[in-house]
Amino acid sequence: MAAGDEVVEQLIEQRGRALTGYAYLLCGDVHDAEDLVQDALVKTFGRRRAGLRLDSAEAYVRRAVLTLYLDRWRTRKRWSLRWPVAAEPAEVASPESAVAEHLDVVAALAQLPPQQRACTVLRFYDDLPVAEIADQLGLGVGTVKRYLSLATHRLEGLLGPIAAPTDGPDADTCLETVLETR
Amino acid sequence: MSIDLHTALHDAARTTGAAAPGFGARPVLGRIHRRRQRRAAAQGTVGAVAVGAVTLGFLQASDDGEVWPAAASPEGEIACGEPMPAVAAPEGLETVHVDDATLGPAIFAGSVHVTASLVVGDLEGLPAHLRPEPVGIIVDRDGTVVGGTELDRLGEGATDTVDALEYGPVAGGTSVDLSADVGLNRCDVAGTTPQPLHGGTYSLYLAQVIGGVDGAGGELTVVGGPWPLTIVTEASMRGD
Repeated sequence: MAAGDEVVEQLIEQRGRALTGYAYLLCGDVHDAEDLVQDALVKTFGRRRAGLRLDSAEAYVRRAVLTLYLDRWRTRKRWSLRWPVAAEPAEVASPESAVAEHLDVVAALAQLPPQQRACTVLRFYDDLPVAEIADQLGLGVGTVKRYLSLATHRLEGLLGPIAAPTDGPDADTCLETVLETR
Repeated sequence: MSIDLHTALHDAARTTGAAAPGFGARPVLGRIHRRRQRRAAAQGTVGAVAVGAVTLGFLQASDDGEVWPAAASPEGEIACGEPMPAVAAPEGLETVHVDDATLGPAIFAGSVHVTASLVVGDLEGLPAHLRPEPVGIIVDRDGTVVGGTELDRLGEGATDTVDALEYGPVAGGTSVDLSADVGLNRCDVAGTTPQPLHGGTYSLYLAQVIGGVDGAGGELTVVGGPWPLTIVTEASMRGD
């Protein structure tokens, strides 16, 4: 077994389903989510990385999931403009029955443009501060705040009032931003 | 009553993950090993490819033994902190190149939007597709690569995972519009948070990877540039 393979095996065995759930929030389809996670694993470990532990490896793979998701969205957008006959993927595929009770929030998330969805997942799922979201997505802080504001407004229209994030270093600042821009 | 989005998202992710079919490690490890082998092979044949471009009648040999037309390709690896390699093709004979870039405003700590054209010559009948959006490369006055958009996407060699339809076919004798948002951050170094590039004058290159369908033909990296890139702060734009 090659060096690093053990980490990959542990990651899939112990965190594979969590990573799939994370990818599902972004892409809205469980099969696409598994494909996304596998591609992210290949991207992450396709070049040799020394000294990765399980937790740091998972962080790398999550980052790769996010990047691949946004890359594919950009590419699909570009090609769908040039080749309108190309098949567009369904926004939301039929989820397993076990997740039926979460359809509302996932379906609402699927109504958001991909960059707003990514910001929402990073903010409300990962509890990242706005500045870190901006770093991860290569966007300005102001842009991220605007995306979060638009996303929150849209989600509240679909789901009802959303509670403020309760943790994270700039939770209050973020909500104030959202409220100010409504 | 308000919804706790944090809890709702975690519940949805957990429940979906638990109900997902799951996948084994073996197929993923197989793909990882194949990619590493391709990377190693590609790095070992850079010099041979440059020579082949001349001796094969201006066709470049890929690592799979197929041929690409003469193209504006880098003569070495593009890597953070390293000198930007020369972009070489038989002068006046390149048939695939990136051209006519237009840059949007470049504001400190933001990103710059770049559009360009990928001019594709005769692909010798090789079915091909574009890899996801072009990679932006930022070079400082000393010619050192200091920033860009995920430079490690270059040379990843993931053609076995790329759906040709998803990424769009490339036809010979056409011009394809390219578009990229290039973050104005220093190159990502593992374990560090990217820092904004300082205001000043840089050069921007775009690199677009073309892959053979289902891995046929390996990959061809086509580079365009340099184009001048000036990063300004919002204060300087206001005249402060």
